[in-house]
Amino acid sequence: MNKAAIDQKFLPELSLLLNKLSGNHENWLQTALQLYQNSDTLARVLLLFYNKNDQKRFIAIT
Amino acid sequence: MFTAHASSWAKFLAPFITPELDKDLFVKVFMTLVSNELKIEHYLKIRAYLDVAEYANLINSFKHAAEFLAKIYEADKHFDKIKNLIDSRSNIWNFDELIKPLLNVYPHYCFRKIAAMTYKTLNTERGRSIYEQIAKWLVLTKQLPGMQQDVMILIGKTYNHKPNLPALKDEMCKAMVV
Repeated sequence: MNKAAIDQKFLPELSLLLNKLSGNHENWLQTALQLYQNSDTLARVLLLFYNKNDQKRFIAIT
Repeated sequence: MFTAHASSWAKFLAPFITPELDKDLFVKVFMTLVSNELKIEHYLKIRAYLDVAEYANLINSFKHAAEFLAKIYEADKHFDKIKNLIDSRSNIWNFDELIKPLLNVYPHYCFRKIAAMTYKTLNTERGRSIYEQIAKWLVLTKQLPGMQQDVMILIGKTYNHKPNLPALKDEMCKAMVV
């Protein structure tokens, strides 16, 4: 990733995107939960997911 | 997350948060939006959920934003408090915004206040921007119920002010006072 000169700040989003593309929902959620505190964009994606699927978790994360 | 960066998260959360979901968070999110954006519609969403202390804090936080405070008082129909707000200020800027909600509630008070502000300002200040303000106040007097005769006299006296003030006349025409 360093060789590809990807800005460090995009790594959380990139990790999440790769998990999404792989179709592994469990991994996607785990990655999002691990990394959302480092990225507002990712936190927003996670909140949108929980707003739709689990409102208690939505409030807890908020 | 929200607690640490309320300002940046409030706008994002607003469409999703409801009092049924979490009343405290709902109040905090919209309190933040009220403070950030000074929009009365945010206040209207939370006013039914504010306790006495929260309401007092909110009012206190706007003590230097009289125009917005007046909007809150107007929404709550606390017209007497808008009067107090006007009486406690000598600032002429935005006077028209403050007095507007009172035109139909206290027409005599509004007329006296606008007349006094007009005469006082004409005695102490000069300049087109000042005349523009005066014209804004005078056009409001036309909305005062049952005071047409007094209003005509006030407008006539102001328009025919001596010494002659062409810029004042011009601003009064532009604002459609005359």
